[in-house]
This record gives sequence, structure tokens and C-alpha cells, in this order.
Amino acid sequence: MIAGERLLRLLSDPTSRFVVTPILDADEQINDSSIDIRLGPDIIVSSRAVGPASFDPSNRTEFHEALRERQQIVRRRLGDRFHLQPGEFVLARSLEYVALPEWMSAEALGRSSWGRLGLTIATATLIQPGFKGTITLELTNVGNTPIVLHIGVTVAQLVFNCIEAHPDAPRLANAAIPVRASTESPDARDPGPDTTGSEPLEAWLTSWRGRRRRDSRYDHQLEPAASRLDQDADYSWVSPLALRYVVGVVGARFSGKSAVVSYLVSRRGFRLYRFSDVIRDEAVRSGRDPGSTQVLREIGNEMREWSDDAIARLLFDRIRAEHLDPDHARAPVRIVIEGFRTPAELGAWENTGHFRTLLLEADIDTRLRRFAQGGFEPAEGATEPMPGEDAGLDAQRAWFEHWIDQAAAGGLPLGDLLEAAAAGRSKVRVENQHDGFPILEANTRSALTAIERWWRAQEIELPG
Amino acid sequence: MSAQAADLDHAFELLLADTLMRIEALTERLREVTSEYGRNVDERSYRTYADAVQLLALACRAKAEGFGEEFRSYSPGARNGVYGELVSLAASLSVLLEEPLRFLMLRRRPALETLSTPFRRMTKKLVPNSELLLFPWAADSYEQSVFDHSEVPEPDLWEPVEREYGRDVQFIRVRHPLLRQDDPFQNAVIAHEIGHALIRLPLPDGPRQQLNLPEDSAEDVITVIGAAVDRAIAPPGKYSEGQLLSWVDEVACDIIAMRTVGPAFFVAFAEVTAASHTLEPERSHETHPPAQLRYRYLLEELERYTETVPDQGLQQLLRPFASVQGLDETSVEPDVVEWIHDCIVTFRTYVDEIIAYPYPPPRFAKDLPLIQTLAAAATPPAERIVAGDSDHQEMPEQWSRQLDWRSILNGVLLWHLERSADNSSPDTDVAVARKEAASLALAGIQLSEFQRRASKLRRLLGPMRPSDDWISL
Repeated sequence: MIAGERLLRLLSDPTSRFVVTPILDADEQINDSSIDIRLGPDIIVSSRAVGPASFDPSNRTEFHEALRERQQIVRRRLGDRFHLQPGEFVLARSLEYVALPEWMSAEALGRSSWGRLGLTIATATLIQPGFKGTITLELTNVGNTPIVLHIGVTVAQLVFNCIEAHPDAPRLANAAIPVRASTESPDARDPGPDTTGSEPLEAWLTSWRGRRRRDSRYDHQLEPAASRLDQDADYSWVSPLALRYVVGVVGARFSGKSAVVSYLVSRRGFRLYRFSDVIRDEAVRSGRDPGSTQVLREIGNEMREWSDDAIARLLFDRIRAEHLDPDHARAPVRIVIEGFRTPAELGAWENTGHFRTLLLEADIDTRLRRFAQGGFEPAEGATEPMPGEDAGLDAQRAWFEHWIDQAAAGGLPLGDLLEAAAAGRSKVRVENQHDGFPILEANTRSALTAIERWWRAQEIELPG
Repeated sequence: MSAQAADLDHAFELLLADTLMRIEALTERLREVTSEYGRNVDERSYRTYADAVQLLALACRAKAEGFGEEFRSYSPGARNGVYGELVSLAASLSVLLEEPLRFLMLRRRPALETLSTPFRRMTKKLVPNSELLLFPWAADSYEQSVFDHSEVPEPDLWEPVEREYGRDVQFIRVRHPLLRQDDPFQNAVIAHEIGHALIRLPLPDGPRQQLNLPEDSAEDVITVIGAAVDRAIAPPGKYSEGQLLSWVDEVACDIIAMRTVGPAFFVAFAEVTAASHTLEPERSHETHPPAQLRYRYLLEELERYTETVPDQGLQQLLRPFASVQGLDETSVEPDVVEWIHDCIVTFRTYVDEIIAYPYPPPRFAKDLPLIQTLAAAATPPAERIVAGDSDHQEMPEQWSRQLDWRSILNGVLLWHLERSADNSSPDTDVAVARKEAASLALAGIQLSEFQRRASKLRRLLGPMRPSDDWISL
């Protein structure tokens, strides 16, 4: 059996005639002694026989007719779903094209994580030396529950064997199997360390060894463990999201965020997600009072201690789970998020490629006026009321800055967030200096037009 | 109101309602067009197109509903004129949807499905705020048309589309021959058609200033260049000004196609032109210049690529494609040829500002050897291993990087042409060999697109995955 690192060396050597292409994620696919392969986009499904139909190779005409009638090729795209029903058998192919030199054979084996769900790869999976092409996978669901396969996820692994007697088998492939010629001394058994790669390749391999996960996720199990397939990194990118784009509404207090969110939801069909939803769920899960502002603030802070973008990532996970619609039966949705509190949360979303920041802008006097006219409750924790008009605008501004802008907004001041939003590359500004909704609506519409243009100009077909 | 006037109003309402219902049904159908792969790869573009057309249709209806009493007091003749225009516009919207739908119902073959995504990606970079719609048709020719605000007679009708998509949104419709859609190499001609949309745009500011043109002039590139050339627009002779500008247009689009997809366009042009001349030996030169004239500039563009490849075999391999047998020798007056040449020289002066060179010759030269090696081994050329490559600093952890789709198209085509010219297997069926090459190129492009998508999405979405520890808490 040829080790994973040696496989990489062979792949990088054009004279080796060993090809597995494309490898979409070397860190995840290359293991200690195998290469994971992915489900390709073409699947042959069989229909149930009705009547005396059968596959009888002795009668060539009927055999071909039965194949035509009973087997149908279904073509899908990367990320699409395919449901394998209990007892169903299909022929799939690997996404990767494989070429083996004459001194190498391979076997296609199932992955343990899929096997634990009932997916088996049939036994006729020996790949002969000199093979070229995609690998046919005979998949059967021997479990009792339908299995959802996504085109592009790793479903099997290839292990490679060296035909040691073959004269072309290179030394490095045989290094795991000590071969001693009769005239050699016993000390010649060890062929020494494998350093046949170029210096840059060696450096890359050193870095790769540090990155990849070495331990099996089922290590140390003392009883049968259920599948942990959901932990596959593939699922963060293979499955499409039926999203058009995501807009994050950011602004200082009383800059009009609620009005914009309401407009987007009620007039433009956006779906609303809040950071507070994730925190509230965590409260419920941990048995605490989800209705208490204090509790929610504490939980939010705790979650941000796990990681400063933890809530952003959990929110992404929730949105992702609720918008996996690879059949695209619905029109891709537009989403608005409110509740950003930190630059890290905004930055995490900005990096996804789906996202634009709607940055609401209103000067302090406008916001102060809205606060005063709105009859809002005194700022939480304020030990003095806002000065009246007779105290002068400067005094009111100072009070407003201290008790509103700089005060804890959900436990965190917004200054850093606003600065990050203004500096961010995904921002679209919406000016909200005027009272009355029509101007804000017009400004928001213009911003959405710009966002639509950006979305349609995306270079790559983003999922959904 | 007279009975006749009431009948007129009623007739108009019925006609408009009927047309709008048809548009709605067509829009729904267009949104749901499927392919062999279940959903259509152009789904998003067609949805946007259908939505824009429906917005226009609704604008027509809103306009009709806005006809007040004052309008109804106009004479029947005057009202008929307005009604006629509105119904005519609505009917034309219906045609906009019918045409692609009629042919999209014919299942598109995998070749064009594979190429559609990279062509669309390229178009979005070249023509801002555009959507590319590819659909087959029965004629053996490639044609393009653009649907944008200039097609709508009344600007206020375009306002809903402008609000949603921006005023300058354009829908570039390219019709390609049904019988050629399986051949990825010949579909390089689509790049020429995209070029027509690109040069409809106004000249960029830099060249505009150099040509001393007014800032607010919205004239397109070719019109401007034609006017800027230092001689009368229409040299005396048998060709009209419009015809000559159309010739310049075609040559300019040839140059754009060469610069966007490389030598593959040269071969595709030769094959498609030879076929059309066989079918139409007396082809009219109303819109397209004689092939000899086009080859003059195509060969110059080809040299930009072939001179980057040290082995001169590429030149010798491709030049024969330019020998067009059986066509009329140049019957164009020398001063017309000279005027066109001046226009093209002017165009070339500014072409780098009109179009950022998407497929530069160095990329072609770098990728060609690897792709030909892979093709010779019957391996779909999809990626280049970059692990440890010092040139690949932006993603040092990456094992491999996708090959450019144009490199794959060009590399496999040239490999195929070389082995055909080699004639070492004279019994090999040329058509079979061509199909093998086409399959290899398409497989390589499909896999490289997977690699591109995976690489980008892993980079964008991978970091958003919550830690397994959080989920299990």
C-alpha cells in the first residue's frame, strides 16, 4: 500500500503517469494511505422491473434493451442533491479522473462515515494497472432510511498498491516494502528517507503535514458510534445556498435601522435574521431565561469569548441550514441581518462573498431629534435625564453621546463597529438625514439597485 | 362617448390584457427552463431577463390604466395611435420571450452547457451590468442582439427596470447554430458576438479626450472612430457609410474575439466561414467585409500568440486556415481598404482601454505545453499543480489551481490539429478524432470549473463553519 505523502510526490511528478485530477482539497482528501474521491455529476439509476424483465447477458439484444429500459442516466451539477432510497442501487462515477501507471493498482472502498448510514460500495472495485478514466461506484443503500448524497462530497477512498515485481515500479513506491537483493548486505534493507521532491515541494509537504487532520474522528470509540458525516468540511461549500445576497444593516443608534429593516422585509420581501435569535436559542439550550435582557447580554458575551465571530458563524450556519434548496424550487431569497455588534462579526460576513453592508448615516443632531421626539425611555443606566432645550444643543449632544452612543448597546459600544463598517469594502451608504420615510425609502432603493448590480456581476456562480 | 369610441377602448383593453397574460405565462415558463442537468445553468440570467420583461409589461398596463378622462376625450384616431404603440410594444415583449423559449425547449447539449458559465463570466467582466443569454436556433450562423433601454420607445416605461437593475442593464442575446452546439471549438465564435455588445458602449474617457470628443457624447466606439479617421466617412464608391462602419465593426469584433479567447477563434472563424461560403457562395457583403480583409487582421492578432511560443510549428499549423479558396478576390476599392485600415489602426490604439486583455498571450504560452502533454495522455486538462510553486504566493497552501478554460480550449484544439496534421494514423476517422478532442476539452473545462468554484467557496465559506465544539456544547 502506498502512503499518502508518496502519492502526493507521485502526483507532482509528470513522469510518474499517476493522475488523480482535480483534487479540490488536498488537506482533506489525501490521507495517510488513501485518497478520498468525490461523487461525480452523472448517475445511472435503475427502475424497478415490472414483469419478466431481467438482465441476461447471454442474449445480447435483450440485454441491451433491458439496460436501455431499466437504467437511466441522470445528470446533475456540483452541489445538487440525490436521494438514495433504502434498497436502491445506482451507478455513479467519481468526479476525479484517475490514471494509473502499469505498476500500480487501486481499490475503491467506502468511507466509514457513509457506511455507518448504510451506504455501501459494491465489491467489484479493483482498478487494474494502466486504468484511465473516472471510477465507477456501485452504490447501494442497505439501511432503512433514505440517504442524501450531494454531488461533489467525498463518498469513497482509493487505496493504491504497488506491483512490487513490476520492473517500472519506482524505488520510492517500493520503499515501504524492504526488498533485499541476494548480494546486498542486511543493512541495505532500509532505503532511507524519501527526499526526492524539489525544495519548494518539500516545504509544501512539511506545511501540509501540519495542516491536515491525522486522527480519525472515530478514534477511541468503545462502542459503535453514529456517523459524523456532518463534520466533513465539504459541507461548508459543496451544498448550494438558495440565497441571492445578504444585507447587514449597520448604523448608530437612532439612525433609522429599524425603519430600513421594516421596509426591506415588508416591501421588498427580505427575510430577517437577528443575532439575538442565536443568543436566545443558546439561552434556551442552556436552561436560562431567554426573556431577560441581562441574561441575553451575558450569554452574548460568553459566546463572544468562545470566538469573537462565534455568533456570526452560528447565524451563518442557521441561515445555511434553512436555505439549502438545490432544486431551486423557490426563487433565491434575499436576507437582511440586524444586530451586528463587533467588527469581527461584520468582517466574518464580509468575507463570505454573499454580503453587503447597508451603512445608515445620520448626524448626531438628527438622531438626537429622533430620540427626543420619539418619546423613548430614558437610556438604560442613565442617572440623569436628557437636558431640556434651554440647556442648549451642546449639552444635549454631550448627554446623547455619553448615554446613548457610548453606552452599552447590548453590552458593547458601537463605535468600533461603525468604524469598521465605514472602512469595509462591502459597504453601501444610505443617508438618513431627513425626517419622513419617503426619502429614506428612495435612498434605500438606490442602495438596493447598486447591490443588485454587484450581485449580478459576481464572477462565479455563487450557490443559489 | 360614442359607441365607436367605447368599442375602441374595449378592444384595446382586451388586446392588451391578452398580450400581458401571454407574457406572464411565457415568463413563468422561461423561469423554469430545464436542461439535461435538471436545472439550466443559465437559469439566473433567464430569470433576470424574464423579470425585466415582465416589469416592462406591467409598466405598459400601468400606463394604460393611467389613461384618464382627458385622454378619452381625444379623437379615435389620436387614441388609436397611442393604443397601437402600446400594444405593439407589449407584443414585441412577447416576442422577446417567445424566441429563446422556442429553442430552449429543445434540450441543449452538454457542450454549450459547459461553456456557458465561463462565457457568462467573461461577458460580465467586459460589459458591465449585462446578462448573457445563449440559445440555439435553426440557422447556420451566429447572431447577437441587445435588449436595453434603447429598445423601449418611451423612457418612462423603462423606469421600473432601471429601479431594479440600473438604467444601463443590457441583455445580450446570442443565437448559435443548433447543428454546431456540440463542438466547443466552433463555439469560440460566441466571443465575436459578445464583442458587438462591447463596442456598442461609449468610448472610455481617456480615448475620448485624446480624440477631442465632447464629454456627453454617447456615440459608440465604432461610430466615433469612424468619424475620427482623417478623411470623409464615406469614401466615394459603391458602399454606403453604414455598410463601411458595419465592416469596421466586424473586424473590430474579430480582434476582440482573438483577444478574449485566443487562437481558437481563428480556427473557428475559418471553419464557420468556409462552411457558410460553401452554403452561400454569393454571400452578400452588406454587413460583413470579404473574408480576405478579415484574415489580414486576424493573422496579425494570431501572431501575438504564436510568437510567444518558441516552436514555429504553431504558425505553420494555423496559417493554412487563412487560405480561403474559391472566394472572390478582393473587389474592394483600395481607398476603402485604406480607410478601413485607418479605422482599425485607430481602434487598436485604444483597444487596451476599451477591453482589459482577458486572455493575454503569456498565459497561452505558459499553459500550452502542460495542456498538450495532458491531452496526449488522454487526461482531461483541468488543473496545474502549484504546491510549492514560488509564483503561487497568494494561496501558498493550495495543492493545485484550475487551468484557464480558454487555455484548455486552445491547447486541446492545437493538440488535435497537430496530430491530424501528423497523419501518423491515416485510418483514423477525422470526425471521430475531433469528437474525442471535443470530449477531452469539455471534460477538462468542466473539471476546471469545479476546481475554480471549490477553491473560491472554500475560501469564502469555509471560515464561517462553526467549530464542532460549539455545536456539541
